[in-house]
Amino acid sequence: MLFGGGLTGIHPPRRGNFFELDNGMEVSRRRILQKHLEPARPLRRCVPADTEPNINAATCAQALRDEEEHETPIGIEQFCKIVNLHKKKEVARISYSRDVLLGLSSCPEAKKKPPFLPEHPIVLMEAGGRKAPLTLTHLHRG
Amino acid sequence: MNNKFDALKDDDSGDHDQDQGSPKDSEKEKTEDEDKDQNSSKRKMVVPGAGEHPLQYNYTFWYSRRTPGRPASTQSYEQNIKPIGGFASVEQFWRFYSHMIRPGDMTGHSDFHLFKEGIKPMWEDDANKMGGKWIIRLRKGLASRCWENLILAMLGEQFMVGEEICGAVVSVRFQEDIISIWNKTASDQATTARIRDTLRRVLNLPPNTIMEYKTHTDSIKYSMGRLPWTGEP
Repeated sequence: MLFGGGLTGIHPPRRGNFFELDNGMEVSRRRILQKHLEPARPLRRCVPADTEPNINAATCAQALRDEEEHETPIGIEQFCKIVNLHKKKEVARISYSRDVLLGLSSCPEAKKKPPFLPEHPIVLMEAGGRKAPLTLTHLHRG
Repeated sequence: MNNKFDALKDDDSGDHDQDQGSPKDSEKEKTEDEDKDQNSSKRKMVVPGAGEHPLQYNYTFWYSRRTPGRPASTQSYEQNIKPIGGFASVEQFWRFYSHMIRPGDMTGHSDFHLFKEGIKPMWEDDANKMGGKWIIRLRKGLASRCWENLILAMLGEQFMVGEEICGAVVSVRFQEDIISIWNKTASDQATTARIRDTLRRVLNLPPNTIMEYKTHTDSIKYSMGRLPWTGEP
């Protein structure tokens, strides 16, 4: 989808097809076919159309890089970049293991009474009316 | 499908009718517009303190208790559910948590809800209406420990399902307790499967524990006039 004809268009014609033909036919056919086998080039280009066609994979890749530099939203490398960005975003999420969270429960900051805590039967006057986290104190079993 | 959405719509409109008939009419009218960003505007600027460990999201603790003898319409549910407070860092979370009783110590028909800031613990909230929840029924005595493990996994971003998690609920009932975790997209099977597997892991449940997934549209459909938030069949 990203390339017209793509890099796969460079394959030579299969000679086997011409074995049954006489020599003259083969030559003329080959010429026609070769004429059609132009190097692959990207469909959408921002480089001017009159540039020399790229003739091998290396220069094609170079062309891709050129286009990337021009911020054209195509190309496999660019695509991979976008995918990686998404991955990075996932990785960049702030995550904590249970142990880390539990470890932070014993720091002084975690024991202060929050401001604006409503008066309510479920609200305790002091931190840890039943001690700090259950999982640390092991006092809970039914 | 249509029926489900009709149920949702009916439920909403019924809610509004009741609102208009209530004595708090004018007050309600006034706050209605601000309703959507109530959390951000009312309890605005919940930020991690200096040197504190920020969380991926801000969260709000809610508490609800069913008024005995009252029919549990959506409206009375909304009126019964009270925000306790919001937090943005690990330290702030512990401040609230350590100043609240444990679910296992709650009496009667009560629920703790811990939801991302801006999401009400209601099926009708925009973030919830296409969603659903995993429900785990617990024998008495397990709720406090399971709840703690559940919310630590949620706050610590252990579910790895992007933005999908909405919040968690622990419901204390007569003979059993129920914990549940709500997500945004009930139809996203990859997400719901991942949540289930993470739940199994972090709650350390016995292998035979039954876990049930329920969409909120089904909850609404099957519980009209019943207790709307419990997942009771």
